[in-house]
Amino acid sequence: MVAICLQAYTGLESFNHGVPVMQKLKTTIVEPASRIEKGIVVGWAVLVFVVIMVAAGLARFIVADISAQEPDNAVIARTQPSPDVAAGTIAVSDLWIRATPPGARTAAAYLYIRNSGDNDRLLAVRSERARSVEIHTTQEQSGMMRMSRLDSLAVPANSDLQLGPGGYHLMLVEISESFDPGDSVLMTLMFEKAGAMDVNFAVRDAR
Amino acid sequence: MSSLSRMLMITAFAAVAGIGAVTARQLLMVNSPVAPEINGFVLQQPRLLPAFELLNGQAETFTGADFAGAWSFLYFGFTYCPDICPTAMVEMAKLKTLLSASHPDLLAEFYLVSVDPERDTPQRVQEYVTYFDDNFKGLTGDLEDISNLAQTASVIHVIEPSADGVSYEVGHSSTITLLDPQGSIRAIFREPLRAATLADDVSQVLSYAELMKE
Repeated sequence: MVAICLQAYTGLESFNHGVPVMQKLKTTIVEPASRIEKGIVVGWAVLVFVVIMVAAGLARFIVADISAQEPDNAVIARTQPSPDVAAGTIAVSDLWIRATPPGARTAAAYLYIRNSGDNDRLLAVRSERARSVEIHTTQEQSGMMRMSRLDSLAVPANSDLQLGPGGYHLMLVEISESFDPGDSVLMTLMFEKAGAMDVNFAVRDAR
Repeated sequence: MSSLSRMLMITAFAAVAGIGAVTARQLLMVNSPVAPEINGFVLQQPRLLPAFELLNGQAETFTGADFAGAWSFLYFGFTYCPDICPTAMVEMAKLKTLLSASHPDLLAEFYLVSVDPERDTPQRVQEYVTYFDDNFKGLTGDLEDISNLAQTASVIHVIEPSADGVSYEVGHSSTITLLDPQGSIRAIFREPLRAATLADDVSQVLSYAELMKE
């Protein structure tokens, strides 16, 4: 391999500089005419070399580009439960509260709202088991998951609204005691048009 | 043209092409093996953690050296969080179960790093994490150390102002950071954090890390 490389080096020298330094060694075996021909062939070899290098560089770039691509966020499929509590045109179902870890001071409640009438709004929620109940949304914002408190939650005419983990939820602030699986928690939902609804939320161990 | 000079030319050609091929292969080898595609980011160069000093669930000092020896999964969150953090902790617990089945020999530790140290005492963090899994670990401490660690893990967090100063919210990146047994970041998994996807992705990152050793 070393010998072959040396010969290649000799060839390159004669091609690049015209005045070969190491050529002296070979004057007895290489004729002047074939020396030009040799230069052309070596030139081709150099071209092939350059092409391979460029291709490798490009391949590397493409590979890096592909690995940098990010897959799209998967869409979380949600089942649509059937309504079981209704007040006028508003029906709510699948009401549940996430069982709380020991020492928790907050809890989250979820439900499914179906509005078969005109535009309505959820204005407020109350429960005896929390100092306050806030209407929240969790949104990805500036690379962070942030909960924001909403003054009210619009429930447009003839539409369904899912409150669920990682999205809209009711946040129970400063809960008086832990929520254990099997508990039933009474809460009052205040709608702008449908009025007040007393509903029971089931505490569920979501682990 | 003499056969000798022809032979010389062919040899020269072969040599140059050969060198080209070897160099090209080496160029490609730099990025080979190719980082797997996951729901998140695989770091091609392990990222070292900064120096930090936190407290574990027993209120003992915890430093970067304590991550050594096992693969560590870090979730930055807070215990006051009712929705996104418990959801993530549940998925992380499921991930632990999946990994213990698929990689029984893998040493893995799971941590919640509090980004709300004012409310999250070591004891509070400990009782919170062990609700999700007996072996989960909680870390808390000075906000400055937490922020240094979070920043290296590409996690941003902010304490939102509140009227009463007690029921404030904390915004934070919802990701899981994977550290190798040397305590360097190898991958960051992002939302949606789902145990099944995470288990597949972790598996790919582990294989990739194994190939990178060679």
